[in-house]
Amino acid sequence: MSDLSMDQTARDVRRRNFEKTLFTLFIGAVLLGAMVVSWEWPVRASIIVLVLGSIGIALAAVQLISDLKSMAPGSARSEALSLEAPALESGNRWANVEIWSWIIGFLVLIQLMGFLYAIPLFVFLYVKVYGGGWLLSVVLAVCAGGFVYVIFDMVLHVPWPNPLIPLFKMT
Amino acid sequence: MLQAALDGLLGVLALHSLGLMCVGVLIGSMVGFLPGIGGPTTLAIMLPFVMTMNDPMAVIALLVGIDAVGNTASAFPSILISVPGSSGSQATIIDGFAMAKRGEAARALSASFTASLIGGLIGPIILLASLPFLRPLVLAFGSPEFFVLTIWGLAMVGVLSGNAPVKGLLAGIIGVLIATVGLDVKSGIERFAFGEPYLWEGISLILVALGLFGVPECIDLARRKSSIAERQELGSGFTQGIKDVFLHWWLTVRSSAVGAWVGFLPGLGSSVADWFAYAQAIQTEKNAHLFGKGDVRGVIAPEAANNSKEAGSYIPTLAFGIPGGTSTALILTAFVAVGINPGPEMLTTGLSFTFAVIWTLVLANIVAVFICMAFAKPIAKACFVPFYTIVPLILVFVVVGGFSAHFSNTDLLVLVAFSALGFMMRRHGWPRAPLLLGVVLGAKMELYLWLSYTRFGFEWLSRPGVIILFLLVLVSVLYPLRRQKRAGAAA
Amino acid sequence: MRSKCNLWLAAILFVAGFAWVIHGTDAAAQSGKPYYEGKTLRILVSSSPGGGTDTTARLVSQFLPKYLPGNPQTAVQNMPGGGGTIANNYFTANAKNDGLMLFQDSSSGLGNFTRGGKRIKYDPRKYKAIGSVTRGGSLLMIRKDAKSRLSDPKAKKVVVGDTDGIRTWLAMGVYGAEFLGWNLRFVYGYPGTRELALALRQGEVDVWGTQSAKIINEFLQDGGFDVLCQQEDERRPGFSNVPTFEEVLGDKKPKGVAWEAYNAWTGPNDIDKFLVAPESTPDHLVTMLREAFFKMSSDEDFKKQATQFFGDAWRIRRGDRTQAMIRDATTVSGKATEYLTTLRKKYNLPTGEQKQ
Repeated sequence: MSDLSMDQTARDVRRRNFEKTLFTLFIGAVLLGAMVVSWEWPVRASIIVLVLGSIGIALAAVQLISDLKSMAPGSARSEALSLEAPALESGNRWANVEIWSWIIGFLVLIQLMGFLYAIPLFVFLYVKVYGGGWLLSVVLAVCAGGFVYVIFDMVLHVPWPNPLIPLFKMT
Repeated sequence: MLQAALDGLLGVLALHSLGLMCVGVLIGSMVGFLPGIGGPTTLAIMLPFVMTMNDPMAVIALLVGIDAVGNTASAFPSILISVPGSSGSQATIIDGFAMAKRGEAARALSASFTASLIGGLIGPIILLASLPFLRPLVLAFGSPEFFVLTIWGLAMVGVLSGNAPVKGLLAGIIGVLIATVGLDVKSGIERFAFGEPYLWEGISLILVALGLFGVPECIDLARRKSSIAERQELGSGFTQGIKDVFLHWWLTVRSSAVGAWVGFLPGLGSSVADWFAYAQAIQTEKNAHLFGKGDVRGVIAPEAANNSKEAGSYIPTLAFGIPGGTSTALILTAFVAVGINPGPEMLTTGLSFTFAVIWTLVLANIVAVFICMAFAKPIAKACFVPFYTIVPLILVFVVVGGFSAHFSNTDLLVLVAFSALGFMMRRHGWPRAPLLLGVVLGAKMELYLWLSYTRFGFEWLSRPGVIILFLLVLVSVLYPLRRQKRAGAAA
Repeated sequence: MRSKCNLWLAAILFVAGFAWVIHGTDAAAQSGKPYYEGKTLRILVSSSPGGGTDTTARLVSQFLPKYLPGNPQTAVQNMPGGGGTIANNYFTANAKNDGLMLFQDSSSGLGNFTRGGKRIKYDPRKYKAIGSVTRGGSLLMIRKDAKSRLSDPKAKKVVVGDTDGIRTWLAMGVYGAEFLGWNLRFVYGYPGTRELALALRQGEVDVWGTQSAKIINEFLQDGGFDVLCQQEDERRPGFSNVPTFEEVLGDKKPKGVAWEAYNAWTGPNDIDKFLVAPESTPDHLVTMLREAFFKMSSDEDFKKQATQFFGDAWRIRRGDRTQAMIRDATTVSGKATEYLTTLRKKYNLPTGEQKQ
């Protein structure tokens, strides 16, 4: 590994450790917040939160110390030497954004069009965009939509919510 | 007794009962395959139809057939896409999905079904053997004993967490706190609901499971832009999986026994039997460090237990008419409607019905396993298809399954929140299984602690059952830690 | 290029066709048909599966559709907790006026409302009652091995177990302790009927009350249990040898506000399990539902199953009568409410203000 790529990887490791520490802080904050909110409750409702919250905060402190140690200046470079870390490549961040966009987009489609229209459209678009042929895209879209319609609509009578676009409303 | 056993068998083997049992098995298998639709939902749908039937044997065949096999088919989504098909297949995800990523999905599936078959046979045998002392068995476990059992479950969190026990315990604690969300049953206090009616019911376990496991693995698949199997070869296959179960026959039998014994604990057993079996496997098997990385034993143990527990959950039902869980509560309602009176009569004048239940558990398991085995190989090939065919289907599965929690748009928001949490936990090396177990056990833990204290004061700590169980907890936590230390020192 | 255009056109036509099939099928199906046809009637239940309220809901869900125009599908949804508070609050906040969601509650929900408190975000007087099923008055069971301690103040206290500390039968225990000197302690928090039944068998609790004749007879058959008294004004058929609580009280029966408070606590018991629609449900739907409920009660299969579940003493009340009884049961004077609050605090039972 060249010095340049080792430095890049060490930077990635430091960034990753920073994110890790933030996440631990987040967990600690959740526990602290839970204890604060539950303070006003009667004992029989709050005891489990207070007891476990206290233990949790102590453990979170232990974990935080461990995370901070791994953020110390020398450690990232030495970690970079020993770690195989393809997930640390910055290219992967965009991959995360890409898939999350599809997930959120799917949920937005559901709100706009309703489940029974959004499902085949989403399946069709995803398969087509990432390299599936026309036939495969249409077949999978029909299968997914048909399966959900038959099982969840006809058999289980799931009460679908009304979509925001009235055109797609099921009467 | 022999006459009752024969009457029960003949009742179940009658043509229409057998037919209904097969229908029940098909329905139960399909339900197990689909996350979000659980056994209780299906039984609730069948109930109106069943309550009009006149033949008690036919009712037993259909309902017990549905109930007995849901956990068999639920291995499909657990192993292939890391989405628990039912609460009984949560522990299977840990090693099952890891095996699928190695191209060993067929092996994992066949091992799971074979273990399910054996578990499904051993469970009824244990039920049968317990018939003479069913009642003292059920009466032995009061609120204090149940509380210690929940502690045992959470203490195993440290064991399951491998080399990140602090993170594992923290995840478990967060899970228990998530379980407190909603209106507290004993005080009516709104906890962490912030005035939102949706949260009064608490957070659905389905949403937690789908969000923590299903979506992050799907994201990983989409990021890698490859198939589920990271290696493009079939690897060890179908036959190997079957052989594995017999090679590890003692683990299989042990796990089945654990499942049956844990399954009988009313209200608690059916949701944790697979975890207990998984944990006892880690604690007792050699090379425990291989668990969690795609060890077939990590599939055999929970799958054997989650079938044998079904028989166990009938113990309190048959002994006292006290259902072991929601599914058996619904089955009980149907039984009463057709003239079967669960309770003491089931061991005397109604013994033939008891045997009909036992025979149905056995036969339904055999039929279900054969059906699942037939589909295992073709479905396992899904692990090699390009990601763009599988990712959208998984997301559809997960989103529709999540929506089925409360049929509310808010379910989707909660699903996204837990997906984000699962994604971050995975990214930063936090074990997710303990959080899920914490959610499963949290409400019961709090309830039994409250009942123990309010009923007995601090005296509950001196009950013999409690002391014995606490000692077992200590042994089961300290022993593997000591083994780990020794293994580390030897290395 | 041309073939690509054709393929795009084919895809658009396909999606449009799919949409038209679903949309068109539904539209055609909707015209001129009975109201409930193709619809699902949800019944929300304020208890966990397996108890009396749940069983009633499932019976109703099985037979009510037979008598509703269009014969809808039914789905039962359990929402236990808080003695019915959770389900009541949820129903009030979420149920629509389309007649597609009904609520099966029990007397506890009324008791909670009467007790009051900031957790109560519903008003049962505003519901549109469809009908009720009553199983006869509650009976108080006791373990035989605890009976000798009941009147001995020096002995270990006899433990009474309950779900939420609100149940109407609990009034017998509290008034027994207050006016008859019963040596009792009250423990609550058990999730439901089945857990309490197990706890009674185990000896974790010594006393428990229920209206279910089936459960009581099972316990009596087992041996080891007795029935202390019953809540009805008259002795129930099948339990004619069990004194009523008023008979047990004898000349120690309290008067004035104390007895008014007792009636306020136990009044809902007469209503037992009732089915309601939300306040804003149109009158024509309420009438349809009430008629169907009443016809259902004459169904032979319904009667057979109800007897199997509840014993012989069950009976149906019509919607309008149920509505009036709900109003009466929840109309309590301030003095009686205050008396109950003081009494409940004395025995460590939850009151409206959850500060204990």
